[in-house]
Amino acid sequence: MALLVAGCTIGRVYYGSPLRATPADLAEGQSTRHDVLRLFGPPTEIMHQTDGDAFVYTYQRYNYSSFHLQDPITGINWFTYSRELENRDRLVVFFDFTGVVRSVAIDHHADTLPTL
Amino acid sequence: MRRRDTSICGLALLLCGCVMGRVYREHPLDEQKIATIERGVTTKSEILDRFGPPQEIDARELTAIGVPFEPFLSRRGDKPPVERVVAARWFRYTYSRGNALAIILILFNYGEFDQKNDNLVIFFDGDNKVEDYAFGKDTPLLPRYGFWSR
Repeated sequence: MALLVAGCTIGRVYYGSPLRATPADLAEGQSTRHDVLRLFGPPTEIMHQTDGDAFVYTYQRYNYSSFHLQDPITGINWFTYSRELENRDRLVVFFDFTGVVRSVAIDHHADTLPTL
Repeated sequence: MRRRDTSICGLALLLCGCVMGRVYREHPLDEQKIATIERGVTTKSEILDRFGPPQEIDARELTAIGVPFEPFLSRRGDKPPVERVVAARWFRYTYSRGNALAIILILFNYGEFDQKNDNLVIFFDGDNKVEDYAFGKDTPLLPRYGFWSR
């Protein structure tokens, strides 16, 4: 029986930085754009809407793992299993025309990625 | 003989390659210059003099002067903005760095890449003066040697 060589690859990619503060520090209808910039820093993205701007803060993680079984002589790949997972923390702050926070939405998923 | 075979197998398993990569995009932002920005005082042309051309410009213009805003308001009772022409509402300056590390063994490979940015976003008012700004310096948070220094 031909010998098989097994190989394993793990990859990690990180884009951006974790959020600096929590949305609990913001009060809808009271906090201003200045407060948001002071607490969270420059947004990753600024979007325009017909009723005001929105700041988007993103921290993104990507995990990759794969397992290969290969014939070392012929180089034939007998079996490959790979898994890619991408998650992010995302905070979106909506402002009204005057720059007051209208609503806030947050997702915390970057740290829930499985190890493999 | 058996010992030699074991040693060769051990060496084969340990044979490895290491890859380190560094990515730099644009140039570092001068914090001394950033400290000179004053809200309501510094003008757009002064910003351009100090920092040069920005990487990103929001050049939205409200050109619908005289057109009623009411149809565009999403909620009843919202007040329309005071109409004005805004040439550029904000500039963004970015300095990006990325660190890559990979360990290549015969049976196992591990690689990681981390990118962080220094960002300066400057908002302007209708008079082309700085209304607000924010600076975030995240590049020092980059792990130097991947997971070893994370």
